[in-house]
Amino acid sequence: MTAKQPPVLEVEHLSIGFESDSGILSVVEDISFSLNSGETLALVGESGCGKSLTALAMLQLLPPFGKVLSGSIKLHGKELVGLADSSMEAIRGNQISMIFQEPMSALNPVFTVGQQVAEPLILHKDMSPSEAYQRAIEMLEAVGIPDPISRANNYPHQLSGGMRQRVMIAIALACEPDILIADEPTTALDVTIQAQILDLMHDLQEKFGTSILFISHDFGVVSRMADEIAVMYAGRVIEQGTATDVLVEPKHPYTTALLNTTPRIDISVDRLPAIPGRVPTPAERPQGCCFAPRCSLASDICSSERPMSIQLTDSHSAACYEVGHG
Amino acid sequence: MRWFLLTRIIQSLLVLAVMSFVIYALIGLMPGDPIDLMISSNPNMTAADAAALRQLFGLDLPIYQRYLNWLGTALGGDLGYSRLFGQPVLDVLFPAMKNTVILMGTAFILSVCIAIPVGTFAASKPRSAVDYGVNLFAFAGISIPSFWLALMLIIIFSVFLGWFPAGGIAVDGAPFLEQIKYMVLPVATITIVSIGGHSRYVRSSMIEVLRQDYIRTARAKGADNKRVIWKHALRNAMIPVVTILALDFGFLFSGALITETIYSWPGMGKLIFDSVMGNDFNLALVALLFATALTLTGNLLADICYAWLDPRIVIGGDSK
Repeated sequence: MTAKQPPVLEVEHLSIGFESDSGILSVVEDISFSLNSGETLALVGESGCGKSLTALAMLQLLPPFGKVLSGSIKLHGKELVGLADSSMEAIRGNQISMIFQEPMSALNPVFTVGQQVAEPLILHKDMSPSEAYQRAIEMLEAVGIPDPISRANNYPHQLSGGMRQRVMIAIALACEPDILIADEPTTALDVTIQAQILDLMHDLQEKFGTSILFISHDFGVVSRMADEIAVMYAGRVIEQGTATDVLVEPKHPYTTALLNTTPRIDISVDRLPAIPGRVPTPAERPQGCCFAPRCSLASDICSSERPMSIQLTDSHSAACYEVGHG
Repeated sequence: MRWFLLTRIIQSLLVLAVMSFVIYALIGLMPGDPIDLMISSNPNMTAADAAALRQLFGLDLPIYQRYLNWLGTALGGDLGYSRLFGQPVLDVLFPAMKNTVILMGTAFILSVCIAIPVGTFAASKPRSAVDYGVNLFAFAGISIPSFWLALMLIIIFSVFLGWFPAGGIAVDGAPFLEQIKYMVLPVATITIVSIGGHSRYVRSSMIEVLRQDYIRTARAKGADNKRVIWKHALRNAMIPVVTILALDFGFLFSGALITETIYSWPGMGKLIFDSVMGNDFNLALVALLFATALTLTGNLLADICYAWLDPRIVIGGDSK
């Protein structure tokens, strides 16, 4: 291992919520993580746990009325929270890019894919439209689109879902950003296409040295991609560690339960286990541990007080009363 | 594309043929025929004379036969005489149509040119003071009856201020500025009334588009707000708006009856009204048919516009 570089992206005590007439509803509470150069950090959790909101906060692209309530997001040590729109626009697509879950709707239907890949280059790299278009064709080739010269002339509806996600990746990587945020990039795709897209992201990560913040609910996908994993539940990170830590030695009962729901090829079961109950909505989160109502190990203290994160090893931490004496 | 145009033109001609019969029949159903009008102005005519005349002019035939006779001559290029004006129908129709196109066209272009930026701006800041202001103005425009607005404008700008004439049209060959003077009030009336609807359509379509995922993608690329709205969103937002504009296209030629009447603007609206009221069958029939034909043309243009705006719409199946 080489000497440890400072992290590219550092998130500390970040809370995100929605402002409404009836007050502030906090959705993501006090999460911290850091993303190292060239590595992949996976944020894993069920729908509604706040992982997409966290991803959008990195770009300061929260939906209307969404707001970073407290905490900091630092890119190369530079604070992004509260940064002016114009400075943020210079970072988006240039230093931090994002790809989304739905490649079907994430591309503008009225422009050719070549134009769309060229756009960030025109915006950030001062390229002329024709230079940018040439570069766009190279990018389309780099993401494995056959016959890129004629494909660049196609409109999104003329491409398959997998092709469109490749185009999205080409757009995101056009300016060779430091960080790629991938929000469930393969969820909407066929399994075979999923594998291709994951391999492609892996290859391009090595080629460009990009750090990836990978958002997913699928441990199967995460295990292929992640160096580090942060498991989120009800707006908090409840377990964090290297991929091996979390996948091989999960400590938090939620992580264990979630891993058990992932089908495995080497074990035959009639019925996959499910976690009883559902994720509490931000408004109905209990006072204690949010997972306590669904947890088989819960004791009295779990429902009265929130567990703090406990550092288990240098890399591994979990927020559960059980792990302290486990 | 060529195939599409051909089928659409054939379709339009069929619709036009059916419409011509419907209009012909409706006018035929109106009480009174040309012979009644002749009799009423000549007390010496007897009922026998009237019957003879009806037979002479073929008015005793069943309506479909009369229609076919008319169609035969009309297709031969003879659209008949206007009873009211004593001139061939087309000689009456074309100047009126020119006046209407000038009036409605100016108002239409003004309305669209104002409504698109105003609606877009309101959509980009929903629930802001600007948005509420635009909404208020739009609803006022939609709700104000055009005859009332026209009268108010005449009272203020013609009677009190004396800036513009209260009605009529400049004589042929008048200086350009003089012609404009006559246009200002009627154009303002129609523009103010239609701008409300247009800007509401633009606004709601724009708000819908701004919610789409590809707008988020554009922002994630680092595009600023201006670029997101005017480059990424506007073209998408225009697709449904074109439908509404196409429907308005027909009015460009059929005229605005009330406004034209109040300002004594010699356009199609007034002409159709006068011809129907004056039992000028030939003129009413042809004027209504022209209005129908041009509405159909407007819809055809809208279809072509869709394909130009939205690459997902491929006209005639000849995709690349």
